[in-house]
Amino acid sequence: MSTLRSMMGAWSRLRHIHVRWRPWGSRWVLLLALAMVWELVSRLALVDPLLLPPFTGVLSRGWELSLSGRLAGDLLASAWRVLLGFALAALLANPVGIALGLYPAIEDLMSTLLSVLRPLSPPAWIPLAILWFGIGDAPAVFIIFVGTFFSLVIGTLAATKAVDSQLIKVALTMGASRWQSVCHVILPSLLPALITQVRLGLGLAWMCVIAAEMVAVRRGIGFLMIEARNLFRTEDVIVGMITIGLVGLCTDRLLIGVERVLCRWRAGLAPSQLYVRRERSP
Amino acid sequence: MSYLELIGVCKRYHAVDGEVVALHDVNLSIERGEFVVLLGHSGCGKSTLLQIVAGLELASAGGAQLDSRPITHCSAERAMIFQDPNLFPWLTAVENVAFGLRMAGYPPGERRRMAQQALARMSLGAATSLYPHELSGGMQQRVALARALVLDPAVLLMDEPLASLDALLRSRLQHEIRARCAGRTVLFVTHSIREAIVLADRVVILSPRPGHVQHDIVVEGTPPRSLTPALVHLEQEIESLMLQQEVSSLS
Repeated sequence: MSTLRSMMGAWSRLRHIHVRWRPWGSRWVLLLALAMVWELVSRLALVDPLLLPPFTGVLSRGWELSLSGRLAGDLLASAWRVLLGFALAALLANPVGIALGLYPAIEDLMSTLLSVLRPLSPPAWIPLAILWFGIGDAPAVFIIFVGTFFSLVIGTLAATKAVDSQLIKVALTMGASRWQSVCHVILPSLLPALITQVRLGLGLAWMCVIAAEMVAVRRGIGFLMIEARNLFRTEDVIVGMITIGLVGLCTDRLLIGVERVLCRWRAGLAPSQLYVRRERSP
Repeated sequence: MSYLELIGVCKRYHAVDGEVVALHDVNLSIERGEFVVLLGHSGCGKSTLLQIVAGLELASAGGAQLDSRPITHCSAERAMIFQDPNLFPWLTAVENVAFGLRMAGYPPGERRRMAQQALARMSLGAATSLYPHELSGGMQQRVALARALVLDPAVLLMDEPLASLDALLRSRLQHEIRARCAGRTVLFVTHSIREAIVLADRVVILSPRPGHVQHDIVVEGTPPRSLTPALVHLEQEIESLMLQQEVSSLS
């Protein structure tokens, strides 16, 4: 009986250890399993290795590109374009979105124009970008700018409309002017939404980088991938994809950290906490 | 002329199914330092009237005057407290109380000292650095009261500030409000007849929509009052007046 009880106790402890490592552990297990399946599919020639080179081949090519400095150089060139294009878009789109959210007359005026321009995909702007800006960094930055600008405007507009109007009323009855209520009520209310906008917008900007670097530039992850595609170097294409994915992951983690610090006043039970499976206490 | 005057106030809205008249020819005179409670059925325009006095809304006809000056915009001299505390969630209790002082351009040190004193008067001295989500409902409403009182407003407008609180807390805060608002002109909206007769110098009953002043009752004795048989009788009288209003509006 006592053996049974001690076994039950050990199982209970194991379950709790399992619960603790599962969220991190399962993530890596999934990635590892995916990599193994990928390796096998390619090695057993279930898919033509020219179309899907083995995982280890991609890793070794990535290592070569890193050692030669090519990957870092291309990454820096792309990151610069992404940051510049996105920063310009955010600087312009957020005030425009807030103005549209606060003044329905301006929204009415602009809504058709926004609806027409927003669905245009970044490559659709390439001819105009070349005509207007020639070749080099400028048209690439422009394509990232237009690729993110309209989504940011729509996001900020929606967030501004969702600001609690009671808080604005309180501020006005406390003697705040309209401008003060924008600075001290609307902007702090928008902060969490603006950080989410940056997270989404930066992701979108990296998605635009391929289209942006189709315009005559000689450096960049997008250029690396387009060049590799033309030369049928599938490993390089996948190295570029993984690099963009990893950069996206790092920036997203960084922004989640920034949000935690800047929005520490946010509290309450998130929907995810209501849906989480609850463990019985031991 | 009285300190706060409402002269022929009308308010019309354009709704989907046509024009809605919320207030019709409201005339009301309130003396300096008077505590007036507005009673009325839901939708009779009590809150709209308060918002017109606050300057948040403009009357469609007629208007409000404070000290013979027409009210055309919001001002800290007419601070308002709403049903929900509406504290700014990104500011701590002390920063919330200091908000109006900041808007008025007080230097940081002075506004912090004044806000801390205002919180201490509300027995919230230990809660200064807490965020709104860390405060209970009653504490939040006391912070909202401190935030309005720290501005030393000429008129305090309260729109059902105790409606969401439990009976015990409500009774405690009724006493606190009367104590902190002594000598101040207050326009207080409530649904509770008992709350009205406990707190008010005068109870003004608005008719169902479109709202206009139907009864103006002076309550004897010094508020906050304990319920005496005479006050219970008054409560029943007001209740039957409001029931009559409802019946006549339905017919």
